Amino acid sequence: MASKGNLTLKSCNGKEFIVEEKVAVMSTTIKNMVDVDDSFAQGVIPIIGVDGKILAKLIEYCKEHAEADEDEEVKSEEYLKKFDEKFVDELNLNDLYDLLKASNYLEITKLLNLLCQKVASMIKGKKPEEIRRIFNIKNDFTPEEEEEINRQNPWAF
Amino acid sequence: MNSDSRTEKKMNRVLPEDVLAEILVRLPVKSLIRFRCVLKTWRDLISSPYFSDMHLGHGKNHRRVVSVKRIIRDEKKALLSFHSDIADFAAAAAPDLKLPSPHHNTSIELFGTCNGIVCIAELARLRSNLNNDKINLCNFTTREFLTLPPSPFGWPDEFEDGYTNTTSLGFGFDPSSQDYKLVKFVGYFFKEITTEPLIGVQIYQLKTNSWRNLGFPPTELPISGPSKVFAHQSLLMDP
Repeated sequence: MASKGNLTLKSCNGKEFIVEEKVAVMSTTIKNMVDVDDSFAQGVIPIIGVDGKILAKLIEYCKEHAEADEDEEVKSEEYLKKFDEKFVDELNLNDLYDLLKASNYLEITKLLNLLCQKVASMIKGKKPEEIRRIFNIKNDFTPEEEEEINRQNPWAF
Repeated sequence: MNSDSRTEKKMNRVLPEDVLAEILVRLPVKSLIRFRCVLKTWRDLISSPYFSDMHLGHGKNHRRVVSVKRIIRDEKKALLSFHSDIADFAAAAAPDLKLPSPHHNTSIELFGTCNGIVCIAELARLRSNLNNDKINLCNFTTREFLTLPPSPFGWPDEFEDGYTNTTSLGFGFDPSSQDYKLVKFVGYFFKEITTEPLIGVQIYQLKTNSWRNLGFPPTELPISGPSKVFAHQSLLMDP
C-alpha cells in the first residue's frame, strides 16, 4: 500500500511500482483516473497491456521530467535534452514500439512526441520495403497497384 | 503466452492510426510521396485531406502569412512572387511562378485556396471561342505548380454567332468525392443580341484531370469577380 502522495502502478504481468503522484500524473490517463475517483489514489492502479519492463521505462522517463518541472536548477533544459537523447537511443525496436503504444494509451504527450520524432528520423530516408521490415508488416498491394500509386500525380494529396 | 519471451519479435508492429499520423506528420513531403506504397492504411492516411491539413499546420511546415508580393509582366514573361513573415519562405517554399507566355489582353488573378493549394489564373479578356485561359494550381506543401488542361467546351453549335468569356472561377475541395474541384463560370455573349450573357458552368476535377460541362443552370447565378482569398490559416492578397 502506497503512503500518502504516492501511487501504486501495477503492470499487466503483476509487477508493482510505487511512484510519487507528481510522477504518475505525467500520464493524463492516470491523472484523470485519480481526479475522478479517489479510491485509485489509495489502491493499486492496473496499467493494462503494459508489462513491467516497459512500465519501468515509462516511470524512469516521467520521474526525470516531473523533477525537472519542479526544479529547473537541478535539471536544466540542457540536462533534459541529453536525457531524452540517451533515453531514445538506448531503445531497441521492440521497446520503441511498445513504448509508443503505451505512451499513447497513457497519454504521456511529451514522451509520445519524443518517440514519434525518433521513428520519423529513423524512417525518413528509407525505402518502402525497408519500412515494412522495420515494422514487420506485409505489403498488401499487388505489384499493379503499387505501380499505379507511383504513376499517380502526387502533387496534391 | 509468456510475456517475457519477447515473441513480439515475430509480431507485426502495427501502430494505432493516431500514432502513425503523429509520426508521418513530421516527415517531409518527399518521404510521404514514397511512403504511400508501404501499406494501404499508410496510403489512405497520407492521401486524406485531414492529414494534409495536419501536415500543413505542423511545426515547421506551418506558414502564418503568405502573400503575393508582386506580379511582374512584360511582353515575354509574367511572374508571381510570394512572401511571408517567415524569413526563409521566399527561397525555400515558394519560388517565383513563371506563367507561360502571357497574352496582351489577360489579367492574372488569384481565385481561392484550399488546404494550401492556390488557384492562380490568367484569364483571356478578349471574347473568343478559344479557351485561352491559363489556370494554374500551386501547392505550397509540395512546392509544385500544375497547369490545367484547357476546357474542351467552346461555343455550342446550336447557338447563333457569339463569343465566350470566363467570368469567374472558384476552387475548393469536395469532401464527398474526396477531390479538388474548380468551377468555371463562362459567359456566352451573342453577337447580334444586346441582352445579358448566358452564364454556363464547367467543372474541372483534379483526380481525372478533366473538364465536365454542366450547361446552363436554371436559376440566375451570383457571379462575382476575383476577391481576396483565404488559404490554410493564411491570408492571400492582391498586391
